[in-house]
Amino acid sequence: MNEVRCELCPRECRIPQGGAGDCRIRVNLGGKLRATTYGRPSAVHIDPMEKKPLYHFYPASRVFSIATAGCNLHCRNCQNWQLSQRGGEEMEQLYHLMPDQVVATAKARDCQSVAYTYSDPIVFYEYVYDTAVLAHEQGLKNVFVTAGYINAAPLRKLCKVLDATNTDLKAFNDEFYRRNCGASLKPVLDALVIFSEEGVWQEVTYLVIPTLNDDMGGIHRMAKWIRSELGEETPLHFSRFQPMYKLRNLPPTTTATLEHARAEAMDAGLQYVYIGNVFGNKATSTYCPRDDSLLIERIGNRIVENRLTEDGRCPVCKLPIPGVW
Amino acid sequence: MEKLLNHSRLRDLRFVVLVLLNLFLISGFLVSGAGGESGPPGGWRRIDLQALQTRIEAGELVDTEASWYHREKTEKAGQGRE
Repeated sequence: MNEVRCELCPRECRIPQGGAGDCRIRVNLGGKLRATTYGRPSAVHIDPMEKKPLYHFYPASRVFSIATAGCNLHCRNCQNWQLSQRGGEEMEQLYHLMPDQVVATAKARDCQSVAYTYSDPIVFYEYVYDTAVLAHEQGLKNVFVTAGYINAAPLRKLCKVLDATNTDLKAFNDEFYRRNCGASLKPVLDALVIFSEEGVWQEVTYLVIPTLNDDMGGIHRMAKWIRSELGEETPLHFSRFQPMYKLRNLPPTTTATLEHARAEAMDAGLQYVYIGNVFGNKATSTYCPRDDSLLIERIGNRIVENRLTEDGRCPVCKLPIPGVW
Repeated sequence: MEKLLNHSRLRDLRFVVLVLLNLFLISGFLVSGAGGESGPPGGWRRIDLQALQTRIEAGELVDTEASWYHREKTEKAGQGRE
């Protein structure tokens, strides 16, 4: 019956003729799986690197950011659900932007990187890969902002053309993944380890959702896992939840909860722990883990002052600060 | 007077039944996961194929062959989701 099995993500959808994968955009047409949004992004923006968020990767540089419809997770708190929870045929806006055009436009707009972001770029894998190859040829960096729900083989291949990733770790709890995202935790942890093994610069984001994943014991265990599996120098961003999509009944995360989470993660041994989506918080800035001096001062996504030496060291104690500067 | 009291009791009883029925339905909804996702389905989705094909023919979407898949030879796929 011309059925195909997609092997890109752990869902491994078996898709009959005329059907789509769980992601909505990988469709079986004529017994072949089609990437229906290849070269047809629905979101195109130029962002600062800090918005991804990546705080240790080319600070303050401009990133040409693209996304197509579709996602392989279905998070009840999704902030881009109008993009991620729809198929290409449902989108009002479809740009024509083939890989060579992405790279040419990024260069023309003075961007140093291309980011695959907003929805989960895993589902438009082929578009990401082809664009990333061309971007490298033209001296641009590739940034992958993802939830990490992908199989090992495609991820390892993709890592060869990636330079940096911010991966959402949505909870350190399989039950949360099942109930809130329709997914599971283990493949995400595997992906985080693969990024690390493949030498892709990695930062992790954890959106703290009141009552659902704000248990400090779980946050402490997660931070210990990051320290042991990815390294104590891995930047971790605790991000503030805003009521969204199917979770409008919950309140925004309090600053006190975010600061508590940060303290837990630092107590577990992580050296660079940030708070995001809270304007003016001191934990948006980077501090030297040895002498606590202010290294990069940020307000929101804007860098006020970068005091790192040219080779990325603390100007006071000369400690090398991990990152790509 | 007694007729009036009987009528009032019947009305109260109906109200109590209505409240209990509501509580039963609410608890059933909560036990079933409050409408949340229930784990990785690993299935497929029905889509508006006509709309997709129209937009491919118009050049708004594409039919570029994907990587990372293989053809299945056996069994029927399960029920698709909307």
